[in-house]
Amino acid sequence: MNQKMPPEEEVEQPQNPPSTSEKPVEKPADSPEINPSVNFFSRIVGAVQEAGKTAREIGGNNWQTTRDIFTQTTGRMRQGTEALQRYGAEEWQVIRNLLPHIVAAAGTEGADVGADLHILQALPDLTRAYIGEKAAMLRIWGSAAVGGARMWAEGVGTTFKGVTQPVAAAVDAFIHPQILQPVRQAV
Amino acid sequence: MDKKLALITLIKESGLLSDISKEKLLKAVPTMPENDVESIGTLLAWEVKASSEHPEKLLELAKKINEEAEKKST
Repeated sequence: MNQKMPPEEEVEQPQNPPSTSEKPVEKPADSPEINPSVNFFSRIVGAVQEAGKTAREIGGNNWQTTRDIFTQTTGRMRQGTEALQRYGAEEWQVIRNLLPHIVAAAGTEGADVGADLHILQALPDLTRAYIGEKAAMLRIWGSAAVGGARMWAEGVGTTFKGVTQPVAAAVDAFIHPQILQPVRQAV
Repeated sequence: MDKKLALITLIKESGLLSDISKEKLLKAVPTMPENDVESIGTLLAWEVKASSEHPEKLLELAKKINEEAEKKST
């Protein structure tokens, strides 16, 4: 399994890491009102990572199938961000613009090598676009992205537990019938 | 589970959406077209699923990677 380390300048541990509730102080003029937190970013990365992990579970070593499932899933996620816009959720723009970078980084190398470095290559654009020049936050975000990619590449992802039954049922209502079941049948 | 009911649950559970956005979406769900229910629901379902086991797992791993990088650089 790939164990490449990211470039030092991207992952240096900040002296005083901001808490997950701290928000960046600078933002570009054309950014949406929301300033994404570390938690926000890690949740997006986590969603893509989880989709990738599930795709690999279904596709196995059939990388074309894995890739198709992953593409289908993340395509629907992107449609979700566009729908959010229609209902006035101001987070839509951040999610929509982050998703392609994360998906590209995670999907470029299938389910194995290089995902962490591809994430890193996408980071400068992400950080310049959304969180300004606050160095400590950049590094935490970078680390979160690398962590997400590595978790995905190494299959460390989550198993579905730790939520109440209604929440689990709500997740199943969207993921399994729409995405997984038809694909399982096709495979 | 009914899709709209499921979406309401996921909106409430999501960590991506602000309280204001949640309020807007919850009001819109009853009249929301099926396609929007599907796409928003899918996005939030993956987010909730991924964060369900251990929300801080990602950041914990990131810190571990940082420590590894620091050790290598010294």
